[in-house]
Amino acid sequence: MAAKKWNPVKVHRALTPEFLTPIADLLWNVQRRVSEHVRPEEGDENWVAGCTAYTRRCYALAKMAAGPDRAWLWAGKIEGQFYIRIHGFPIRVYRAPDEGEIPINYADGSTSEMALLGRVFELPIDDVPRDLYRIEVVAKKLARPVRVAFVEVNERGAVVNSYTIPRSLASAIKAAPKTNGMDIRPLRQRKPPVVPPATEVQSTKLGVQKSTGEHSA
Amino acid sequence: MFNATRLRIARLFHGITQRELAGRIAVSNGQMATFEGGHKEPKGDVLDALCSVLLVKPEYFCGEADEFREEEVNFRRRISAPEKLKRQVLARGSLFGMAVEQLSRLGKFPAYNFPKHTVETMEDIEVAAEKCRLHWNLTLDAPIGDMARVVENAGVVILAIDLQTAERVDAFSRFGDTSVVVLNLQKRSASRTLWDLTHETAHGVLHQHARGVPLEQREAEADRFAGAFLLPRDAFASDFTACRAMDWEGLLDLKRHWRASVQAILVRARQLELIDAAEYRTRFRTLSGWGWRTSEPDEPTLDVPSLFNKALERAHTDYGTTTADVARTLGWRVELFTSVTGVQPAPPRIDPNVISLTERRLVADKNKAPTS
Repeated sequence: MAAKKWNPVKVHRALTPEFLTPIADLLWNVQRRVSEHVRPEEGDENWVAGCTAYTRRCYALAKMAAGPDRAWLWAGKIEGQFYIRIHGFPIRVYRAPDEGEIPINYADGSTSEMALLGRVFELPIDDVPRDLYRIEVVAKKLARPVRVAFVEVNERGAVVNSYTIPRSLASAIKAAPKTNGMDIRPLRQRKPPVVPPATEVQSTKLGVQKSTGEHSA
Repeated sequence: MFNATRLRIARLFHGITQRELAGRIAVSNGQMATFEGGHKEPKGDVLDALCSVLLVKPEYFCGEADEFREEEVNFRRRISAPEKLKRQVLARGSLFGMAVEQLSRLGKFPAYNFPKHTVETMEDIEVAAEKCRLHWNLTLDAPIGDMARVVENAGVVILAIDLQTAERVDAFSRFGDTSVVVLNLQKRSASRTLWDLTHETAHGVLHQHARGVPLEQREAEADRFAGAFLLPRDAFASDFTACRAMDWEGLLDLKRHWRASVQAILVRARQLELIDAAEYRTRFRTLSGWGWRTSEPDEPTLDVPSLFNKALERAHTDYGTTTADVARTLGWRVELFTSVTGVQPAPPRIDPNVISLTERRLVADKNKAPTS
C-alpha cells in the first residue's frame, strides 16, 4: 500500500517538481495526442495505443533531453531499456499496472541501473537498496491519460510508494525549469571548447608558401 | 672531430653503463673512460663496434651536442625514479632535440611564443594563467579543445611516447634553444596526459628563469597553474556551483565539459573553496574505493601532437627528404630514429616496372635445378 504523503525528494534532492513536472507535462501531452488518434472503428485497440504511446514518449523525451537548458536531463537506452536520468538519477518510464500485469523484466533493475543509483546515493553497488524508481503513465481505455506518477517499486515489482507529479500550465513544458532556492540548479548555457588553429610548419623554400596538411606517423 | 658528449648521450639513451659498453665492444673500462672523457678518439674497429651497439653511424659523433642537462629541464618524476632512468630519459630528450634541430633547417616551426611571468603568491599564479589564456587567444570561459595545439602553436615541439619507465617518469620539458615537452603515454589516461602537458606548460611560463626556486615549490606552482589554466576560476566556479548537488553524475558532467579528471576538478574546487576539507576528503575516499585514482570513466579524447610529423612532411614535400634521409643526416640508424621519436619510416616505394634481380636469379636457378 502506498504511503499517503510520500515525496520523491526524500529519495533524492533532484526529484523535485522543478524537474518532474516538465516531464509529466510532456508525457501527458504525448498520451493525449495518441488517444485522440486511436481509431477503434478501424481496429485499433489498447495494445496499439500502448505501443504507439511508448514509442512516441521515448522519442519526445529524447528530443526534450537534447534541447537547450536541459543538461539536467538525459534520455536513452541502457542495456536495451529506455531510461531517463534526472541529474543522473535513473528512472524508467512505462504504463501503469492498471492496464495489465507488468512484465517481470520491467521491474528488474539492470546492473547499470544499480550502478547509477549507487553513484547518486554514493554507495557501493552491493549496498544500493533494491527499490527502483519508475514514472508511470496511468491511462484509461484507449490511452486516455489519467495521471502521471513517480513510483517506488520493490524488487518484486510491486509499487510501494506513489506520488502524482503535479502538472503545470500548458506553457510550462516549453520553459526551462527554474530553481526554488534548493541546491539544485540546471547547468548554465556553456560555451563549447575553444580549439586553436592547426599547427603548421612553414616552408623555408623560396616561393613555397603552402602549409603542411595532416600527417600521421 | 669526435664529440664525447654525443657518445655519452647515445650510451645513456640505450640505458647501458660505461662498463657494459666497454664489455660489449671489447675494450678496457679505462679506454672507454678516455673516450667519454674526450681524451682519446675511438677509431677503426672500435668506432665501428661503438656504432653497431649504439645504432649510429660514425658521422653521428661529429658536430655539436645540445645536451639536455638536469638543471635546465623540468623533470616530472616520482621519488622512486632511479638516477639511471632519469639520465636515460634526459638522453632521449637530447636526441629528440637533435632531430627537431635538424628538421628546423628544412621547415619553419612556429615562433617561440611563451609569455614569462614571475609569481610569488597563488593569486599571482591565477592571474598568470588567465593572462596566458588571453595571450594565446583562448577565452576565459570555455574549456580548451586541444592543448597540444596551444603548446605547439607557441613553438614547442611535443613528443608523446611510451617511455617504458613503468610510470616512474610522468613528463619533462625544456624551454630554450630547442623547446620540447616529452610526455609519457605509458598506462596513462587522456585527462592525465592533458594535465601533464599543462603542468609542463606552466614551467615554460613560470620557471624558465627561476633557477633558484626549490623543486617542490616549482611543482606546486606548476600544478596550481595547470588547474587555473584548464579550469579558469570564474567560469569553473559558476559551473561547479550550478551542478554540485548532482553528485557524481554532476562531476562527470563537469569532466566531460572541461576535459579535466574528476580528481583535478575536486582539487580545483577545494582550491577555490567551493567544497570544504571534509567533503574533499570524503569524495577522494569514495573515488579511491571505485578505483578512479588510476582509471576514471568518461575520459576525453587524447590531444595528439602533430608538429614533429608535419615537419617531416614539410621536409618531404619541399626537399624530397624522407624520414630515413633525416635519420641518415643525423648519423642515426633508422631503428634509433624510430626508438627516439616513435616515427616509423614509410617503406620504400617499389616501381612495379622494376624487377628484382635476386628474385629473377632465384627463379632461374630453380628452373635449372635437375629434377629427380
